[in-house]
Amino acid sequence: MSDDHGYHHGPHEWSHGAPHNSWAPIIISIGSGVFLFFFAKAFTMNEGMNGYIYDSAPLPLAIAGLAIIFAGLISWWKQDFSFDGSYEPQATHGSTPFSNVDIRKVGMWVFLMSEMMIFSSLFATYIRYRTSIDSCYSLEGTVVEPGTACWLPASYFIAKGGEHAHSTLGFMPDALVPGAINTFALIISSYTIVMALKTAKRTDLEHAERSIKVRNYLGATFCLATLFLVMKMIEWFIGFHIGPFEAPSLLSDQFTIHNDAYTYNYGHGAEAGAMTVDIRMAASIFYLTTGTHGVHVFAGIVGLGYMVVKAHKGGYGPGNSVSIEYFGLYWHFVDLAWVAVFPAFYLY
Amino acid sequence: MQLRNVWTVRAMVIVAVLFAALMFSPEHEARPSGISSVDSGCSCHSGTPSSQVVASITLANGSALPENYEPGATYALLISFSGGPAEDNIPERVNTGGFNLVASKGTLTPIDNTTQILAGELTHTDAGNDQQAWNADWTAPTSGSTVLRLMVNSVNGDNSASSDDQWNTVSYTVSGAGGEAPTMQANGLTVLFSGILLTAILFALALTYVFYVRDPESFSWKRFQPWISHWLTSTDHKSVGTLYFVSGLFFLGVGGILAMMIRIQLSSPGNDFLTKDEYNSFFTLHGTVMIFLAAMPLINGFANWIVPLQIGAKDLCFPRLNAMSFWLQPVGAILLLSGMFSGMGADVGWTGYQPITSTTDHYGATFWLAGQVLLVASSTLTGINFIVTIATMRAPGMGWMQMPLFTWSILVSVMMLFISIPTFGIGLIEAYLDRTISTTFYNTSAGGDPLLWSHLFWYFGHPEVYVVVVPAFGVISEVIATSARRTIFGYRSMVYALAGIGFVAFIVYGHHMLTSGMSPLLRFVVMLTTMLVAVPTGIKIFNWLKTMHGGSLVYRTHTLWALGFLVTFTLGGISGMFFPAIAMDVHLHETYFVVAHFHYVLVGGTVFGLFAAFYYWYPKITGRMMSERLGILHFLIGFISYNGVFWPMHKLGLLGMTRRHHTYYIRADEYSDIIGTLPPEAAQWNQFITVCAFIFFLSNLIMVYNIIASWLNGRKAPADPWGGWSFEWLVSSPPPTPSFDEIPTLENANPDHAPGRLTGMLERIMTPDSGDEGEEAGH
Repeated sequence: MSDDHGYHHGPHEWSHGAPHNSWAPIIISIGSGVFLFFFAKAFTMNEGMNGYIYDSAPLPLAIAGLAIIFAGLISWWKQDFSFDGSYEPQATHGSTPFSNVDIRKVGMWVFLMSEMMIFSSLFATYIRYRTSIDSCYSLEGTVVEPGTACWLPASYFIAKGGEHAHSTLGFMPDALVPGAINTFALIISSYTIVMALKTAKRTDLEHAERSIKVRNYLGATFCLATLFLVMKMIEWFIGFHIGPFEAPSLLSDQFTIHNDAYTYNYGHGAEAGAMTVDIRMAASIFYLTTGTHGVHVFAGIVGLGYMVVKAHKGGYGPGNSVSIEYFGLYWHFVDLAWVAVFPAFYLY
Repeated sequence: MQLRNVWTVRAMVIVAVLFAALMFSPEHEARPSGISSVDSGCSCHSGTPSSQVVASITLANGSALPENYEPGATYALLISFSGGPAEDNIPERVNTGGFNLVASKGTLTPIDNTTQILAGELTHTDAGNDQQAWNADWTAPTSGSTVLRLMVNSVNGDNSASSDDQWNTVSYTVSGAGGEAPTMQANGLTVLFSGILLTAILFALALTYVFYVRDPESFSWKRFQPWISHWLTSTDHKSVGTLYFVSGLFFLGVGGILAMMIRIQLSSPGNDFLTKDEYNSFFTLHGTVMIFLAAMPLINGFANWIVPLQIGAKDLCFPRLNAMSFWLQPVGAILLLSGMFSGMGADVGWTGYQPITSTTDHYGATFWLAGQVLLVASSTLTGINFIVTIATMRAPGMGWMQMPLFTWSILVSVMMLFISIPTFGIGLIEAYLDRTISTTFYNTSAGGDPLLWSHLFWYFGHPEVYVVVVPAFGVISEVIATSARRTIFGYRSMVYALAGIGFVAFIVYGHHMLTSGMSPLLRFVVMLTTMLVAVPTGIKIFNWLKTMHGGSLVYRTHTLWALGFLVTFTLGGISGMFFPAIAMDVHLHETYFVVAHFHYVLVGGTVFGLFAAFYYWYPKITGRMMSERLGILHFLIGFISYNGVFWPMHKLGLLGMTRRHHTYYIRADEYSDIIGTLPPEAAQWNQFITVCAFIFFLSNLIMVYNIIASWLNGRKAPADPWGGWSFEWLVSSPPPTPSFDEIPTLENANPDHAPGRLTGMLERIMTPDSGDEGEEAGH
């Protein structure tokens, strides 16, 4: 089916129809190696393990690693671009319990199983430390050594961010706004991806019109996912001050993985006091978990970018709607993971 | 005979090239780029040395270093520098000066808290980071010239890496009594790995040369390009499988060489063939390389080659993902070993116990973690591929309970791997971030818990050891059934035993942590579950015995390896039953008894299984028969020397020899009982083990030679040389591409045999369309 049979060895036409030889695997692998290598060269923890020594020279090379990965992805997509669903491989008849199910669908569900384990491991780490390290609230009023490790959750800083602005919203702190928008952005994007699938399956539309609609729904999903990451950057690094709404970023609130001397002020009036505490662990697990989720969203954005282009060229229709369905499975999982991450890290 | 002569000459040329490669391996010392991790504030030796900084070493009394030292005398050194930004004297700036001193011979000793020994080199401490002069002692060696090499930093002290920082270096040579020329001592690990790399490159060149000599006319890039791009881009399961074999065998050799170095070090008490640091890196990399870069790729090689053939599929379901699983391996391997080339390989053990993994000043540990992240990604993709392929692409008529046992074993193995490895991946990423951007997951000062790593690691690590041994079970089932010329005894119980191992694997990992202070109740639970593992394993052993009992055994090389497997794996399994018993485990923990046990199951189990698989499926893969004579020679030498290596280790463990220790000491006589020393016989046993280890190592070269020679000159193999009856023997040897022109259908040889009750029930529940279900259930 595909026309680019430039490098083609043997009659390998039986399953996906794409050319059977591919440079993508080796390119992506090398790119990943280059990235991890130079990232480690650029950042090295210092002796006290409370910060890192940063060397700017290898960082462009780490970024070059990402570029190589992207080049590999493009090579992969070029092979997939002509895929029109006409030879969607299916499980052999009688392969209980998957008889005649699309193989890619089974693959996606199996993949989500490992994603589940990834987030389970992160939550295991979170629960391990959350339950064993004293909460800073519980140490209030007691005499503690400066730099005692204690747990100040991200939700504390978000609520405190609201205090700065005297909580214009009333029912929730201003600093929770990016998180709240993100939650809805993801939920709506799950809806738009389903609409893209539903539209792609419609047979009552002309192909051109349907393609435009599918592209628009996928584009909306793309924009919502991008909004998610932008909001995350605002929440982590930038902060905002728009009209009456004002909240500092987590960074300017000093919720960082290197802050081993955070000054925790508590209480009011006669009961007020201050402690110097170490909040690095709470920050580490917060940034790792939400960051891992962010990486998943970013991967979704990269995939959606390809799908928008393919939809624009008319690549999706009733015969080839399942690709959207399988991406949707992944996307729903990312959404679902956020539904677990958000309350655990932003509200509790 | 003419041909044979030419080949002898060529073989000799290759051997000569290998020796030349070893001779030319680098002798200079590779240095890391910074002085040490102790400096906060400068990225020290990235640029050229500055002449504004003047470094010097004098004696503490101000006089110059002597030209000749007195053997064994101790000299008080004054290490100092002048010039550079450190002299700007801006107040509130800190960490302005630092140094690093290497003595090629003799011993450097810190005399106050401003200096310290790190990785065998003298450097400043935190307290000494603001000075421009330091004092230390140097004890002269007994003979030989010594080079004292000093590197100094002059830093502006703004606590960031800036271009103002300057450094310089100076070397002094102090001759001994003989006054011979000084030599720089290279780091053993660097030399070894540079040698291996160089050998690989020269080997590739020699191979190219052979191609050239064979046919100079057609030796051109135009002909070479399709060949190389085929191997770099192929997604065919057979090509990818072959790539796995090549990389797996290469790293089996690398891991073997590391093991030989460890054995030389341990061959006599108090040996210093390897330094302590080198020893730590050697055993770490031996473990990691053997598990992740040798055993797993070799298993993947067979899984790639054989599973699609056995289930009657034309390829795996996601061929490109499959190629990616492979290519992540060599990239991960290079990354994992890249610390070697600065002489700072990972030194944390293959288990990577915390907090050492997050804090060791060997930079190699960072790359070790990064490389393994890629291997985790590779295993995840492999898992998806095989689970889905086996679940959805079985030939018509092949229900779950008709699958060959090798395919079953691969399914169970990748299931375990797939479910457990993300946990390990997250642990690795946490540790990697600890070491780079300084998160605090395993930083005890911020409340980090090393035991969390143990949980994340062993939740993966224990299933992992079953992941590498279960495929060997599958191989042995195939080999024994074929060699005994009958079906396997108790197929159904074999499947349930495999699945049982797969399930129990996840609830036993606590026995790795019995000495970590866990609750006695939990220890008891883990003890019970661990002992439970013996049940399915025992079922398998007895089924194999019963298969042979009812059959008529043909003794081929692969049969011999399978029989060897039965013996060694059973012994390993029995010694394994010592460890769940809590008291016994506490007693034997971290001794050579443990080493003996897991080498009995991993070498005697996995590796012997893989050897059997090589001899069994080689004709199918290459279309050539292997030399039986060489195979039997390999088995005899290998099996005997293998037992010579690992059996005495049980004894050493009981004598109290600890594992992962750089060296050991023996008692002068049986009456002096100094704690930590071993009785004199331990030294003799160790010597014996070292000799046997070398024989075992060399015996495996027979197989490598056999593989290459048979591939070039072997007899043509028929489609089914052994009389096996699973699908892979249907196709020609080597199989065509795609592997089947037409998907075969599995017919039931015994149509009267009804499926078991559970299978029948599962099929009723899980088969959605009722049209031809009755017919299917009849198979």
